[in-house]
Amino acid sequence: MDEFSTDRRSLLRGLVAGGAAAALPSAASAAETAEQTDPTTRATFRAIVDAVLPETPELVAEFGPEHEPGGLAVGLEDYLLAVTNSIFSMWDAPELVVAVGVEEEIEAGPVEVDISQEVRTEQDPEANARLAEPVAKVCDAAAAELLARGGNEDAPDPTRFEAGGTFASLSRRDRFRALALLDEREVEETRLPGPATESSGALVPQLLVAFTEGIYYSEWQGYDDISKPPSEREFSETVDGERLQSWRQTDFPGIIDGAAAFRGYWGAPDASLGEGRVWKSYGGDGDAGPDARIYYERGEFTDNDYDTDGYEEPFDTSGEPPEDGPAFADGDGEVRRPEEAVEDARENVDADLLARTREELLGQEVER
Amino acid sequence: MSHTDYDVVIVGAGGDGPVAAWRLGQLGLDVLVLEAGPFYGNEQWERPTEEPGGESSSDPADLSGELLDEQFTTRELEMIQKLIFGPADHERGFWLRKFPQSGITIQAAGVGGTTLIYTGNHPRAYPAAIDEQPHWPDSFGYEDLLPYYRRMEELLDIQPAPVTAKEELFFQGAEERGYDLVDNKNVTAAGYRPQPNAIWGPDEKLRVERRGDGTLSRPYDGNFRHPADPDAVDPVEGHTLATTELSGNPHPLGAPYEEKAKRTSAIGVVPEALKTGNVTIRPNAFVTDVLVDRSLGGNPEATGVEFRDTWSGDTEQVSAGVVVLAAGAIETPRLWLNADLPRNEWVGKGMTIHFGDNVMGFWEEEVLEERVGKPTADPQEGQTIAARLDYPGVGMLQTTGSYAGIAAILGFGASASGFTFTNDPAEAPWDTIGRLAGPKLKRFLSRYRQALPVLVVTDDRPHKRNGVSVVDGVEDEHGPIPQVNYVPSKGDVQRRDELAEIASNVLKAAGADHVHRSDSPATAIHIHSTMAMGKVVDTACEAYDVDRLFVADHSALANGVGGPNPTNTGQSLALRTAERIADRYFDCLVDPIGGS
Repeated sequence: MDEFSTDRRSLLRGLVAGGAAAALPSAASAAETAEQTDPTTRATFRAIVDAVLPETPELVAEFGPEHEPGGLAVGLEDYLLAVTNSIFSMWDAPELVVAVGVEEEIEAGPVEVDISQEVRTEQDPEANARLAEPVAKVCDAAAAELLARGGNEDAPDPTRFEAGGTFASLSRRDRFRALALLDEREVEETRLPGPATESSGALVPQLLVAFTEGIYYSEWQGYDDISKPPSEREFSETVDGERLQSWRQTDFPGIIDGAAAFRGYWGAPDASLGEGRVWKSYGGDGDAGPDARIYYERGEFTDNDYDTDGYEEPFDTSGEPPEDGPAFADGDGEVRRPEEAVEDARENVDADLLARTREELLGQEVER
Repeated sequence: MSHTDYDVVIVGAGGDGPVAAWRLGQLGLDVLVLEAGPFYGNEQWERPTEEPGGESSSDPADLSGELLDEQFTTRELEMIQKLIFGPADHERGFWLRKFPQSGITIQAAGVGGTTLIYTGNHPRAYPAAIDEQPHWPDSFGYEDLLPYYRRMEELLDIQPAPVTAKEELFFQGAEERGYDLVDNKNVTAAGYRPQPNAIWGPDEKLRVERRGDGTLSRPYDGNFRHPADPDAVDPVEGHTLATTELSGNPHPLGAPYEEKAKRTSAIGVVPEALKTGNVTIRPNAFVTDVLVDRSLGGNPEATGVEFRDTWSGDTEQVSAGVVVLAAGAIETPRLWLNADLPRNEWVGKGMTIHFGDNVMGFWEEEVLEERVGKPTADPQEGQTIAARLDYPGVGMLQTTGSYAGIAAILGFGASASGFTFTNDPAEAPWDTIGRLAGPKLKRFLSRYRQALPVLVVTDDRPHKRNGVSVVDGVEDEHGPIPQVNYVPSKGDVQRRDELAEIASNVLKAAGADHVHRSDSPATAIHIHSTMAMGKVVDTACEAYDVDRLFVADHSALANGVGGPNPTNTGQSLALRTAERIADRYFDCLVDPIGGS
């Protein structure tokens, strides 16, 4: 793969755009939604969960056997799929269709590879935006680019996940490298006069990583069926007689109604905060200042006279964006209508992107 | 609703709208409040996320602590899904707001608005942010807010937050770094202090006993329920010291609605508004248009609103002598832009979001034993945010307790710096920076109970490029959706970096052996200044370009008030605006709080 130079220009976008919508049956439950998802998309979500919350036998010796299982052991990928497909309401908004446009132009010496594709997902206009397939495609496109740039450290292995695509063929650390490419998209992409509804590719790793982590460490595993109406949901802090897997790993004590944790009120002898008996004082032996105390009674804040005459600005007040700071869009970009965005995405459309990537870069057999 | 013609219609029952409703109702005006989300803890809606229920509520007897206990389970995932800004129907996802890059807005829907998930912090603005920074009109000063601050602080019983292990750790670090303890309400110099919170203090029974040799014990053996609950064992009143503010906190369980410890606007203000006998609240009503009369020459005059029932999809209109926009700093400008109102170049512009970040410390068990007398910091205990460090001109820091899921997202899930492996913090005051996943994440989360996150809250300044816009064709059921843009300035980035460094130093001074900085993407939780006083509204908060149209939410603040949590200032300004309305259009202002 060395012949592919990293000197290239590429664009990777997610779009929420206008267009015709076709009805799908409402997604009734997490399990059903997961079942409707095509095997490759499912494999991508499995690969994400497997990377973010892996099985970690290496932690057993240090922390104990409860630290071994990861997200796949509790079926987190099914719920992650369901959440991805239900996070945004689109009820009564039949014009809203979710599509992903991918354009890739990779300059590799004398060879120019132009790979582009657009993914559209049919939407139920009276439910929520169905985003799992587009998100998975963005992951696959990022993986394809990683391989094209030779940025992978390990050989891809198409057998890692059944029916897995390019992303799922990567090792765990290379999956993160692929997602990191999406982070880099912030600069190039947001400098464009972006379509109004363009969602940055950078949102994909944020959501996939943050949601996976937040859900895993929450109470999620304790519901019999979280898709039921709240008043009918059964929740338990144990599954098969054991506390929730992630809670065992964090030592989180469970949903508590209260804690006898009240030490007192912070104060000082010359302050209006803290009164009465002292619960703890600090001797000045490096613990804290000699005047600080925790008191039994709270005291109160003083409604003091104030004077702002000496106010000074410690930092720059020009309002100019930083020259070398984090990449943020400049806000003056022209706002365009979604149909223009779709047109943009359709230019250079080559629906064969992933198939060709798999054949050329991974040597996989691809059914046409 | 009994009729369709009111003295005042208020768009939004969030943190601020109910305050205006309360004062206007008290002054004898007939007020309707329209809220996009559901009404929790109200007998008109026993299952508010599952069926349409009743139409409106105007009777304080409708309020039910028992229903609130059922609906606010404090399970973090369930409550986030329930409360984040979206339709009441649990089968439907959130309402989409477009944010560039990976930023998001976090607001809640429902009577109480974002105060349903807020942490109860009620500091005042920094005086210099209003009197010295250039954003507010010269004819308005901090002094104008003082009588209203005092009234809101009295109503909500603002008090210094209690100390548990996590606050003790932070205060030790702040002392060791040489910061002064601030005991003032009007803060003009850097220092640290307990949070002034709209949360009732804990019961004496929850005291940790400390013996002469420093050993600790926890004698309480009850079930943390309120004396009104027949199942209570050793009942308690006030905050129960579970960090459930972000997930709704209905504690103590079994308490009557008005005896809940956390004084959201739904708990602390709505009952007062209903008790005036002049206020009706209609939830599940999303306002999509402001009706105006243009026949008078000069400015158009607001005459009412059109709204859509989020369950049935039906639209209705109500008329009013005055319309008050209190839909929050995203939806208020969206509504203006989607209604056929005059174009003012500052509508939606100048947004400030306190450009936040998260810095998390981790401790060895032996160090915690020495510092706080036990091997854990226990972020699940205490009031969620109970300690702060103030720095006028720069912003603030605050410790943040939470359950493990939110801790994972806050600390590790999202970053503008990408993954930790793409960063080299060798020279930085923190040990790691960025998004963390995989085995390292599991290692850090295994220390959840030895961790303390600190939120960085930046005094970011209004820039015209930042704010809310809409574009035809990108719509949901309520019209073009809000598109939010945010680009911090060089100074904003410098202030945030300075605060992150202070946080890191305080945590290390308190004995942390590892500090992780998230470098969070732009996340809008405190959102203000999109309909700024002096630019879109006058000092009474009436629109310059539309008569009888007022703004009574955080969007009317001319800047981010210096960095302190904005609820107290937003509510106090809304209280003042209610008096200006009564005086300007109804001639009924008696016993004014702030003079006439």
